[in-house]
Amino acid sequence: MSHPALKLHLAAQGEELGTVTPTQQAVVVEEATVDDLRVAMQAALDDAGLTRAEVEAEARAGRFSSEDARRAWFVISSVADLVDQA
Amino acid sequence: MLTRLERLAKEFAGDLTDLLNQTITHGVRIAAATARPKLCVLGRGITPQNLKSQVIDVTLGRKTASVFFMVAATTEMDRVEDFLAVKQSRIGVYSDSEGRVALCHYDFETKPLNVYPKAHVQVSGTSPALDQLRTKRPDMEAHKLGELHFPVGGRRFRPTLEDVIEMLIVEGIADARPDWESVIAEHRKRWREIQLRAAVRRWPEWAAAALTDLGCQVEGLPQLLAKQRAESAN
Repeated sequence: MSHPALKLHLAAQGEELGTVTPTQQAVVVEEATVDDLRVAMQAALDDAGLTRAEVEAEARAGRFSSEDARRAWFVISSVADLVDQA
Repeated sequence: MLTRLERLAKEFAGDLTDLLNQTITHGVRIAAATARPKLCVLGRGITPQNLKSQVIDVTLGRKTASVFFMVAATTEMDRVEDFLAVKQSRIGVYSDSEGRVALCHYDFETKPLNVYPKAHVQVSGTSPALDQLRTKRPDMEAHKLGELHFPVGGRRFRPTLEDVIEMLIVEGIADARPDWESVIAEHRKRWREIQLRAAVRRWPEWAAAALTDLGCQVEGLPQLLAKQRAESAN
């Protein structure tokens, strides 16, 4: 899944990037602020109907009460460091 | 002007999009949100304020889908190697369009809070054989199939998105485009090269031993190992 890494390795070795495909060109990449991340975390928790502490407890146990809880953990574990450090 | 993080995010998301649309889906777009200094979340429908990847219809055209798919990944820019390293990923197969009824899901997390394998698959369902087993865990009443974390190769050798797509096709769960095999083969080859290079960097002495067995002369290994030891000590 991380094939861009290969391209970058080649670039680091002097081979120029520049093979961006039309699909890659069309990809939407947006930059999130810390406030955005905070909103995203809360939205995921709201969908799961759980607090952050409850989702963390489920993650610690390795057993989630629902798919929404599992996905909320994905969001929290992705961005919590950035949000907490801000 | 795109930052390197944004450029890599575009490439990664574009490759995922192509892989899906050239095999088992139609018109799907994988998006990405980045956060400075190095974070990137990828998935369908991802925006700065929505980091939950949406479920994808597994269908090649306008036919109503009967199986659904979800792919999500969180990556971090590796400052030393200068590439996107996967911090967390999730590939799920569902029987409903909301993604609430899972058939199975492959999860990978570099720093899980629990004792289970960092890369694992969980399969929903019941198992009469499992029902007869007594758990040795005092904190657990009984084993349930969907709660078991089956290990799947760890960080370097875990199944790929290509593997899961192939499974859906060969098991007759998903229809596939005519040239799906070559698409899978090409994407898989690139992935394996990346993973093998990473494994060689992680265990250069084993790589050197294998090359020596093949009759090659490997130079600079002691210096490399000393450098790696010094870096890990810092």
